[in-house]
Amino acid sequence: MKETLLEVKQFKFSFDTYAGEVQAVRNISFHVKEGETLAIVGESGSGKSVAVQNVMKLIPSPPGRIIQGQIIYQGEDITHYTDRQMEQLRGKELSMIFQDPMTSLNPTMKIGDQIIEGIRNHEPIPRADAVKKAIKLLTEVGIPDPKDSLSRYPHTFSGGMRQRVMIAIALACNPKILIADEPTTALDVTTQTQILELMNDLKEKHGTSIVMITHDLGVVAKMADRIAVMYAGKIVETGTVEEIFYQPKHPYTWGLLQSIPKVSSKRMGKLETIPGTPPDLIAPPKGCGFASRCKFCMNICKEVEPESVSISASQSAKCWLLDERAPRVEREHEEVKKYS
Amino acid sequence: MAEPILEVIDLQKEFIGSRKKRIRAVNNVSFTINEGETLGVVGESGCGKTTVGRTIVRLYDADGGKVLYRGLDIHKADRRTTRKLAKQIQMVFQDPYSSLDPRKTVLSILEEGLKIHKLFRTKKERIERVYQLLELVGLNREHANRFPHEFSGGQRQRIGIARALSVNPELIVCDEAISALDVSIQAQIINLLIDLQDRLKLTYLFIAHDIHMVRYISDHIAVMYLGTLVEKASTEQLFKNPLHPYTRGLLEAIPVPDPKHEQQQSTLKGEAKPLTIEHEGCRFYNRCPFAKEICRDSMPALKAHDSGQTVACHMVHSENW
Repeated sequence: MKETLLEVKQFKFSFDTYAGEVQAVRNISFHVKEGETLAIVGESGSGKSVAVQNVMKLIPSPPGRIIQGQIIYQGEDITHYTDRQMEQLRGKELSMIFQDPMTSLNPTMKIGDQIIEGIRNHEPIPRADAVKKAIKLLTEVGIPDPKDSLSRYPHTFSGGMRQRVMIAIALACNPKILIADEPTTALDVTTQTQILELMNDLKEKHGTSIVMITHDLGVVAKMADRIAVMYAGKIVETGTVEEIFYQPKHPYTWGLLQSIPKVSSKRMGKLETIPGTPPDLIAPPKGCGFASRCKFCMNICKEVEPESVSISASQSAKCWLLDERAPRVEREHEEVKKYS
Repeated sequence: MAEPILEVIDLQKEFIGSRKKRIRAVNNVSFTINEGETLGVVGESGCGKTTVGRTIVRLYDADGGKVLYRGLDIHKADRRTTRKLAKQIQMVFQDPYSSLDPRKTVLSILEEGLKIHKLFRTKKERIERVYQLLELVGLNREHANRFPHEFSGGQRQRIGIARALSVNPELIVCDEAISALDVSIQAQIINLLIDLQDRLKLTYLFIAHDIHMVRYISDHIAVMYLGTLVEKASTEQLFKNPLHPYTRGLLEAIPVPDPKHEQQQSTLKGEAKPLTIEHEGCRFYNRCPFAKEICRDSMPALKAHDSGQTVACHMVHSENW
């Protein structure tokens, strides 16, 4: 049995704004085990980035505010760690890469210095050794001419190369968990494949766990072991990658899977869509957050929030349809159709 | 047989890069779009697809070649004709946040084109038209007096589409019109575009990098790489039998949303780098797994292949392919 590295328990997080309290994360729980990849999927505004940025404590307070819950890393409650305590963890135990590699690297520092800074913050080694290590890291992530690259500035690299540099910095101190927030969204498809393959290789080699945020189900299928589907600040369904793709239980998950175009042309029928837009999290709905867009919405859905129902040891979903008193409904397209 | 509405012939566009290097963003691109059809243009960033779109709506002037709209060279047209053309060819932009004036209400955004082209005599008629447009794109008339910031991304893109439609155009250039939206909203907008095409007999030039969506909406697809058109085919043909090594690599690179799908290792290594004007030979040469000497020395021309599509590759056209 693999050890659980990170556990987030009943976590609630809000932002105080002039318009009112935005309940960005509304009571979520998830965990990450050693060496596995957890993918968090959902639309923008579903709270997926807020959830993981909290693990790294990257959201300033105010405006952010923890309402309740715990974040436990290797048995230790880090929910209320100070900045100084977090510095010991960031980079060394937990690392993060971001969507936009242009704005997340320091444009005024040579990339060599940015990597070395990270290494020497955590390990008291001479600069010359750190340089050697930086060269090794750049080679590992596939930067051509690693030695010369050390003295180049971020703007001289392409998007894909910058993301490789980000990964090198993130992995500099062999973190146990790598958090990747939409790491390939800003990249072209052929570059995306290269970066995803690189992440998978590094995961195999170092046994790093990955928490990946994305909205691309193709990327999820390629990378994830387990998936958590977020909607309106809640995890509505969670399970292994096979469970979510082949036996999803929540209507929102069905909708997500169906909105990938399966028919190959417009002559063959309309694209499935989820009508409407996500609810306003300043005044979240009383019942299920998805009720207003759900085809199968019942009276109870608007009134009472559904409890999490376990379907298997690894899968659970929050939906009233899973209640034994609910009518049986069938998902319209049973299977994810094969691509030609 | 549908008539060609737009013909692009040997289009060229250059930009001056750093250190005064001349970069050819679009290099001898030719294609035609028939009336009522959709041509999808795909390619990675920097391949010149947006530049092509912008040159067609005359946001840029061409440095060479011609753009013929119903036989009329749009870059040689006089002012009056240009104004008429602006009514015929409209554009929907990528970013629904920055392409709408934040200080204007939806009404004044949608009314602007109507005023410029003097389409209605009275304010009352114009307002009626704006209401009609809003309903056409799935919004309602109460939205007319609101400001762009009060809308979500998907709704804003609907306003962008309504603005393009306001002057009754025939051709709409959609430049990454859905890229900034969420997946579930993308499908809504695509359905809207297809629905409008059927009802208003529109022609689309649909520029995007998401090949799934392009596949869905397009009748024909043109694949661009570093300013050149490398392959052109009907949508069905392109997916069934991609010929150009770049097209193949591009299709292989798309992650398939099925965990049981065994994805091949990517065949495309490296990345596209902009080339200066002096570059000879195939632009894909340094990344191509099949490259031979001839590919380095001369640029392959776009030629018809036996299977029906046109492709620019020495190797594909050689005998022992």
